[in-house]
Amino acid sequence: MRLARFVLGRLLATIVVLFVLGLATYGVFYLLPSDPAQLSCGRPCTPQGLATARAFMGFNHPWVVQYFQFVAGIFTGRTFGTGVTAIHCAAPCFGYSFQQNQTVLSLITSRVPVTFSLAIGAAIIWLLVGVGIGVLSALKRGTALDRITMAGAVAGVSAPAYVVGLLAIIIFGLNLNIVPDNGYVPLTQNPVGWLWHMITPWLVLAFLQAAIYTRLTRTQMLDVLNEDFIRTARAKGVPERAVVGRHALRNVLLPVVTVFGIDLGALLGGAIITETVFSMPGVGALLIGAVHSLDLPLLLGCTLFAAFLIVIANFLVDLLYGALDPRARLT
Amino acid sequence: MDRRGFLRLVGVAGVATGAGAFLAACNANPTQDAAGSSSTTKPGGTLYVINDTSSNYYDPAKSQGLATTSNGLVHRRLTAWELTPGQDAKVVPDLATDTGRSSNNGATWSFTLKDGLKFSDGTPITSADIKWGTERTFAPAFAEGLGYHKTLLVGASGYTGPFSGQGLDSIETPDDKTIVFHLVRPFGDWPWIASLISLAPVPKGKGTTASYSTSPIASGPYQVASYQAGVAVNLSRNPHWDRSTDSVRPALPDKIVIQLSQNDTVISQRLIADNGNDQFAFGSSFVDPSQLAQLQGKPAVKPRVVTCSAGPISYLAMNTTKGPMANVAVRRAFQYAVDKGAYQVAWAGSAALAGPIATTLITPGIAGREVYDLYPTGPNGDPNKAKQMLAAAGYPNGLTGLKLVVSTSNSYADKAQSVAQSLARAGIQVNVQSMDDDTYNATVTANSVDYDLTLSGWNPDFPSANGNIEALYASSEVGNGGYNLSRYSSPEVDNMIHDAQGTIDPVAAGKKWAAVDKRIMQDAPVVPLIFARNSFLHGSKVDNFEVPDYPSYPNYLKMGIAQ
Amino acid sequence: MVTSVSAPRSLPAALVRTLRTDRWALAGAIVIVVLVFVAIAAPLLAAIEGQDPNAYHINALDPNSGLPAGSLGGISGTHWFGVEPLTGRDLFARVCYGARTSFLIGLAATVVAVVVGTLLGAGAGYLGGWFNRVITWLTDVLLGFPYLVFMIALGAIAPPSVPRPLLLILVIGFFGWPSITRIVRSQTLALRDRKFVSSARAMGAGPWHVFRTELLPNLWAPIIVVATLNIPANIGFEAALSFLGAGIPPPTSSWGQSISTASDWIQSDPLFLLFPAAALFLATWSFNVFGDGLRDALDPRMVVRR
Repeated sequence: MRLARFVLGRLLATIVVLFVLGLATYGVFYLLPSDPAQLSCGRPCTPQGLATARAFMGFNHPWVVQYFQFVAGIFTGRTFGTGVTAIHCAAPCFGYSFQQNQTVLSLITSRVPVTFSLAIGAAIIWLLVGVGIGVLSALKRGTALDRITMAGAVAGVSAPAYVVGLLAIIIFGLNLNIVPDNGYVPLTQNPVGWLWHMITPWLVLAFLQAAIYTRLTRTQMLDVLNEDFIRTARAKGVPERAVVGRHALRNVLLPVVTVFGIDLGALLGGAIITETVFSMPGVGALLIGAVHSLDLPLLLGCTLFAAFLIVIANFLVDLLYGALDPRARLT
Repeated sequence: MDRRGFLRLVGVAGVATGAGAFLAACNANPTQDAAGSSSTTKPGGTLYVINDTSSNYYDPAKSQGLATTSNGLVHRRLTAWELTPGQDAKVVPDLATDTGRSSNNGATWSFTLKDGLKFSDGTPITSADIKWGTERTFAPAFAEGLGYHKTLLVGASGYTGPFSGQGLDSIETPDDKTIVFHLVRPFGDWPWIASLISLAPVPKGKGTTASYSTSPIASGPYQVASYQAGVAVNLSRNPHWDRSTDSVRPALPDKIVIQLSQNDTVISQRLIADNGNDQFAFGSSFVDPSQLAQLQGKPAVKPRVVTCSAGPISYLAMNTTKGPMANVAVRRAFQYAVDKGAYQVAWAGSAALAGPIATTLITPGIAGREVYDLYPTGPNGDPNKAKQMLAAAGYPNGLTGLKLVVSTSNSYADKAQSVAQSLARAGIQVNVQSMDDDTYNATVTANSVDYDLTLSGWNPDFPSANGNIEALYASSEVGNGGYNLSRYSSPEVDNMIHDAQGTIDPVAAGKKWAAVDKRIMQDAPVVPLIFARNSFLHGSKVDNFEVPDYPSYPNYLKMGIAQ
Repeated sequence: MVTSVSAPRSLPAALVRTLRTDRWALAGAIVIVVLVFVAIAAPLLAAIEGQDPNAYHINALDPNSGLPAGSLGGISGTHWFGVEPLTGRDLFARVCYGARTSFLIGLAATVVAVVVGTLLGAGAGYLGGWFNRVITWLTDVLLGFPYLVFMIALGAIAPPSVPRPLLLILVIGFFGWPSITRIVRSQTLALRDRKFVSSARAMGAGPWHVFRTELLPNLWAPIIVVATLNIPANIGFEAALSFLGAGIPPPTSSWGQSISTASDWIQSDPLFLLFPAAALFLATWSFNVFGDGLRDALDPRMVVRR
């Protein structure tokens, strides 16, 4: 019962969050000095042509009105223009990209497999590697192993994604020619090709992310190992494997899960830099393209999509938190 | 990645980006130079085009592409461009039997279509289809392409396209083969306008939806076989295209694959590595200076870099409506103050890589261009002379606090620093302000501006002096999104432009344009800096790869695959 | 056993202890001090070398390619780290001045994020109720922002009169606090029901008092760890923004900008990348090892195992 109330409450909050986010996004980009209708006006652009383009795209209303038209479109669908050339965007309509000639929803759904492949694959690798090394490092605290893995973790944290990605492409893709240098093959089309194309981006992304988890796990592990219940367990003669595996790890995972939820949620919404460097047609690449081409409807759609995933991820993390730690109550 | 995929399709005017070049002029690869022309390259194979943009659309009404890039493979027009490296661009017949016959003093233009022309769906191409295609560009849903014809056709003001049943009476089609355009004024460049993608034929009644961008009906040698958004476009042969009717498109490859959304740096590295299918590929974006420098040490790759000997103009615009820059004597002093040699280095590392120093406005490769230099000085300028001129103009202590705005794209901020340092030699102190590319374009083309100086470049949409002059120096192009960045307004020059536009004989028109060029430079609204060279990389199996001075872009129509 | 927090050492005491006992932390601290000195004394160092970070030196370039003349990226007695390709700007001076930009943004944005994040996180965790709900909601909203995109947009709409470093600090700090709040909040939630906190509460201590005397000492460790990760992360953030074209505008030098430019030149002039990248790496490394050492010293429970 309490769980149901919690879920319902969070759901409502999510909707409010997304609404406010969308409003803020629209407002901020509307303040930009550039005019999105300019791009649909052609070249050379006459003031008359500009006015026509603006009216056709629905940019001739105040921005708050435009935003409400967008929200209404989710429920009722939208139509731009009249007659045979009218563009229909069926409900749920999350806007229409005039530059890409497609509805925002279809654009995002076509990109989702790429981004999800990238994010989930990399997440599995970095979680396993990061937590594993972190635990090991904590247990062997102060040894050479600890120092070396920590130095590696620091390198991972401080290395910019675009440099690491580029180096990986140049070394492994071009000079050694052992992995593809770019692109994406759909899983459904060719599973082997998919895996083959994903390996380098996965490893690069995982290398950058694992570092954070290694550090976090190590710190938490050291903390937990000094807790009373661990000492008690040790004093009782519980074997070290069981102490670490059963008692310590469970507590270590709490903060790791928190961070992981946020990270994965954010990545599913688009790994902008990684997708860009590896020329992968994911949501992140779509988003950054929308920013640079001032494709307002697409920008709004991508932002809301990313925000939605993050909010959902947070929600799941909180649920999991309650399951892992009875002390943290659901609120 | 900081590119606006949408605007940065090929041939974008307004911002001429680009890098330097090797000394080799705009030739095809040497291997095939020796053998002569395309005779060595047989038809067949698959050509790969590697794009850094995320889309590549084929709706003739919405495209802003050049006549010799991807759109030119799919859509024919009444006329076409004949581009030969080292020679001026020429307009030649394509669908039409000639380049147009003018009457009514040049305000009426008639074309006759060739026999046996067919669309990819097998239907014949008639004059009504060209009329329909042209009318279609006025519909608000498809209005984002090139619109040079929109202000020239009679009755076009307020016209919103043919879809409501309303035709444009100023385009007459007395029979299936003849089309007549009635213009509001004499316009000698109409044959060039007829070569633009916006006047390509669309089967009458077709093209009602946005999907025409990805599944157009082709008139050229290729049709869109499949379009994978953001990933690739596959072009295959159009079975109904007849080689005997088309003299500008050898159409050598059997298939053309246009890869989309590729990372710039990676494109160059792939082409350098020349592995697998990349041997049959070329990059559609410029090779940047860092890669050119890398290639210096790779003699094996160097022949695969093709560069034009000169290209789009890069210039420093001075706001003629504000402060000291309103004084023509000050603007003339600037012609001597700027160190164009240093600018070449900042542009691409060396004079040879960056392209020749500019002293005129009309770019190389355009017929009628005359070379002159009203402000002769060495490549590094003459700061002392500039100081004296400033003193004579009433600024004995130089100038301070001038605002130089630039876009952050294409390292313009670094280039601006180079200009600022050279101006400092003449006692001119400049503050550089860089801004995001979108913001920059909106700021400098707004109705009211507060900058003193700005750096920009320009590549015209069609190879006529008109494209170089009117867009940048006519008073009608000040503000409202226009690119007269100096805000230069001279009734005399406006009249001269009008007169040159109305001159039908190309030679006579060329002379008039050269006179306008010189007349504008007397008022010195800009400092012409360089005619920037663009370099492109191609794989080892790509033949007939040419980059003419205009448009400083590879000619897609001619390329083939070495068999 | 330990019923209340047995007076954790004060920050200065912990500092001294760390530096005395932990050689790695000492090394980290020394590097931090050196880098901070470089940042503060950048004009002096550049003057000693006799160079200016913004002056173009075309003579120092190879006239054929625009690459630095001479081997090793143009390293010489006049240009200690060599010069930039195309511009010939002195790399040593640019790396020194870049330290200013990077440290200013990294430190200041972290301070903003940590202060706001700790106060809100501890408040939410300890007080619960509506405050907790509002903060949780706010963090969700902010974490939901694809912030890179927003920074690009904010950079474009902020009037030029707003100093760009200040804008970056505020923006990075503003988007940085929610993640800290979440961690502090979850730690506080765990601490709230511990005996020493509930007994303090039972004795009538107010929230601010409990925060200062009971919560904060126990929050130091996670806060320090987060902060040490945050500083280099923020420096890297500025770099990522430079890569996307929304960092500190040129000609002001920043490591991020140098690295992103240099990555284009990686094959033709690798030394261009080496110096700014090494500087960024050193800064990150030093904050991390120092933070680790400090954390150990601040946490009394750690002492037992030593």
